[in-house]
Order: sequence, then structure tokens, then C-alpha cells
Amino acid sequence: MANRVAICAVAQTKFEACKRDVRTQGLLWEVVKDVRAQTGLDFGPGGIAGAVTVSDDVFDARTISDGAVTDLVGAHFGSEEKVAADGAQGVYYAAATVLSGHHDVVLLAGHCKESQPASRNMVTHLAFDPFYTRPVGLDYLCAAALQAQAYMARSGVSETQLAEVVVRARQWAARNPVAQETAAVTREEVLASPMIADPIREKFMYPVSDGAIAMILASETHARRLTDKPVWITGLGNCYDSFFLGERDLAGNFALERAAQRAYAMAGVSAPETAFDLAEIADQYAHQLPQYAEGLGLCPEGCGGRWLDEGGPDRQRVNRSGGMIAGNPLILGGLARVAEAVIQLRDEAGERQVAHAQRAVAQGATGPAGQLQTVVVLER
Amino acid sequence: MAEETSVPERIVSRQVLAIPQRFSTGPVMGRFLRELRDHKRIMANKCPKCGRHQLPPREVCAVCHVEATGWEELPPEGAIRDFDVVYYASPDPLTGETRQVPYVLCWVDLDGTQGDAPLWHLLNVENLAEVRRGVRVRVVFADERHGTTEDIRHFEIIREEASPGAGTGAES
Ligand SMILES: [Zn+2]
Repeated sequence: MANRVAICAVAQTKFEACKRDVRTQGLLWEVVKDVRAQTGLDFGPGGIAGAVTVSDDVFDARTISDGAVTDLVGAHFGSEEKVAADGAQGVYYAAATVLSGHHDVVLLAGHCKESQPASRNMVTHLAFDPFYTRPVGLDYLCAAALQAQAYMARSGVSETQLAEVVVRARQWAARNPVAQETAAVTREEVLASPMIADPIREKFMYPVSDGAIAMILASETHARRLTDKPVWITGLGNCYDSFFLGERDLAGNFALERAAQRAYAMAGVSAPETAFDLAEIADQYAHQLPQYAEGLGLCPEGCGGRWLDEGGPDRQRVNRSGGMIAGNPLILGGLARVAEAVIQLRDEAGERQVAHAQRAVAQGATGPAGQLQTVVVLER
Repeated sequence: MAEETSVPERIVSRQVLAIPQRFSTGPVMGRFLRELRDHKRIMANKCPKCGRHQLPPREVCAVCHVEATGWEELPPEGAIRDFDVVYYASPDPLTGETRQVPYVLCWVDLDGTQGDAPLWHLLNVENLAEVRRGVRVRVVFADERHGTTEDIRHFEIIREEASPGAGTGAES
């Protein structure tokens, strides 16, 4: 890339099942205030020139959901663009804003309160078309269950292995101060949790979660002024798969492989198995950890089961944050992965720090069964 | 049977979208609603930097980007800034019921504010010819209040010459 763009500050709320005492605006303000304090930036000329926000109309129960937060992100008399997809897409958009020369310093801010609707499933049901797929009861959970059936059959991943994914996620989450599900569980407890949509048990799902994340992205000149620990975005890629699940190979990673290829080509990564000091995967459901590890090229295609057995997640330092399965709201899952990568590359991850971390890959997904995939390569 | 008609297909798919929601109000919006409910008070918050009101109260002054930490009780009277008479019976999305038409919607500059605290609500008035910019109105609170915008029932026109109870045909 001719120009360079860096993430100069990151703030996350603690992720919780229901933040009763704060509305979405208060939630977002907490992290916006935090990244402004970290960088000393105000809004306007010489400061934050533009904002990219991430939110969801249906969770917020209003169309054009960003209208509710413009006051908080300096968009009053200023500029703001909303991404109605996973926040990793917001990173992509904010980075493009900087790389294009449109703005030098951009605020990226996302929020979601999954606790607002009576049911998260009612919200994701609405992501399906009203004529063919809603009448048969599809929502993101059902789509993920179909994906899990297909993937587990092809890659030889067992329910017991998925239980181990959850046990490990909780162990790392306990070392992440913003993680939601930090209580230790045993394999037996996970396997005894209720079956929700075969093969997905309750503890194979990410919990209902509320939270917000903000970042400051800046061009190279400004980044060096704002922080002594800029984290460079060196690769970005995304790809959509077909809207209709029946047209996809649910066992595979069509979109993720292409998103990763694009990001790796930009970053000059040719051997992803060994290229990264850490990887953050948006494992909304337990089976997506090995599946998306395949898609990212962390292990060969079809070898997710063996990768789990041979300690791939520990060897490649995958999801030391606890992962999305420890609790991030929909649309912030990928953004939280990028946030963790930045914290690690800044050497600020405390008890879960990867020693000498130089390069990371973070992934986010939007839509049913990972329809839209976004991959971000980050380097210190 | 080979002769398929050329009549256009008009199958219509009818659907209703509904997701029950609950919204935390937080300390700022929450205080505004609590004061309405418990004390029939209209509270605006105030920016410590530029001094402008925000009504409804919001966490942050949009102009100064600082927390609007001040509070001020505003009088329940003021003058109509803008209004409209609505003749279209828009259905209430929650009940499917249509409003009675015509109805009058207005923004009111409450006394002592500098155009920075418009309170908007319905105006209860029989004679539409009486509705003009600058007409003085007062807030009528609901008898039963639950911490919502409906704790204000509507505005009514202030009739300074009238004795209590006289000439207020507008009262519902
Ligand atoms: Zn102000």
C-alpha cells in the first residue's frame, strides 16, 4: 500500500448479558470518551475528521440506527458513515477512508444491545427473505446448525471436540477483563447443556451480549503523533457467499478463503500456517473455530478435527481473548477480534499476552452461516 | 389448456413484522421520564460549556462534545413555534388503530428558553382557526403517568381572559 493506516487507540466496554443501567448512547459514549482520552483528540479540524459507526437497525428498533448516535461521534455538523454489518467491515471502511486520503483521522465506533429485543432469534429471522426462507423458520441459529451438520460430517469434528473448544475459550476469557463468560466449565457440563438446534447445544452458542467498541484509525503521519504504539493494517479482504443457503457449500469456506486470499496478498503473506503470532476468529458457535481456522489457512482444508486434537489453537495462539463464544454481540464479533489483535500487538494483553507478537490475523463474519467474511492482517 | 391467460399475476404476500423490545433509559433519559411521572416536571439538561438546553435531554452536547451535566426545570408554558394540521389517518404501529383526524402537532418554545428547548406534542383544540405561530399554550399532564412521553397528554391554548372552566371547550 502506498499510504499506511494504523489503529492508534482501542476501547471496549465490558461485555455483559444485559446492561440495564445504560442506553445504547451511554454505552457508546463510554468507549468514544476512552479513545479520545487515549489520543487527546477532539472532533473537527486537526482532530477526528470523520466517523464510521457500526450498528443494527433491528436490534436498535429504528431505521437508520446511526441517527441516534451522531451527537456522540462528532457527526453533528460533520461526517459519519454507518456500516450495517460486522464491525470488521467497519475497520475496512474506516481504513479505506484514510487510505483514500478522504480523512486523516477517523473514529470507528460500534454498539449493540442484544438484550433489547425479546429474542435475538426474532431479529436474525428478519435477515431472511419474507417469502422463501422466513416461512420455513430460518434464523442465524438454524443456519449455523445446518453449517455445523455439514462441516462436522466433512471434517471429522466431534461433539466432544467442540466441548473442548468451549472449555478452552472460558479459560482464556477468564484472563480478559472485558470478556463475558468467564466461569470455568467442564467438558461434561458443556455436553450436558440443552440441545438447541442439533448439533448446537446451549453452551456451543455465544451468549446474548451487550457492549460497545471504539477505535481511532489514522494515516501514518498522524498515527506517529497520536501514539508510540501504532498497529498497522497491512491486509484487508472480504467476500460474500450466496444469500440462499442451498446454493452454498456449507461445509466449506468459499467466502472466507477468498477474503483471506485478498488480505494475505495485500500483506504479502504466503504461508498463513506460520505467518501469524496470533489469530482471532469470530466463533459465534463452537464449530466455527475449526471451520474458520481452515478457511483462514491455519490448517489444511478438511483437517479441522485433527487440528483441534493436535493442539492447533494453542500452537497458533488462536482466540486468547476467549473468542466471540465468550460473548460479544452480533455485529461486534469481528470488531472485538480486531481489538484483541491490537491489544496483543501493543503488548497490553496482560495475563493472556502472546510474547513478542508482531503480526496477527483477525476475522469477522456477517449474515447467516458466515455469508460475508472479512479478514484483517495487523502488524506492529 | 395451452392458452395460459395473459392476466398479470397478482398473488400478494401479507406479513406483519413485530419484535417486542425493551429499552434501558439510562441516567439521562431516565431522569427526564422519572421527573415527568413523579413530579409533572419538564427537565432539560444543559451543556456546561455553551449553556444550551437539550430537550429531550441527551448524554452529550452535540456541539461541544462534552457531557451535558446540568439540569434545569422548564415551565410548562410557552409559545407555538411550528405546527401542522394532519388530515391523514396514520395507523399506530403498536395497535393498528388509526388516530382521529384532523390532529394538530406542534413544537413549543417553553418560556425562558432561547429556541434551544422545543417540546413537541399534540395540541388539543376544537377550532383549528385558533392555531397560529406564537399562540400561548400550556402542558396538560396525564392523570396516570408511567414514565413515557404520554405522561404529557397534550398542550392546550391558554385563555388569559377566561375564568376557570369557562370557554375551554377544548378540554377532553
Ligand atoms: Zn455545548
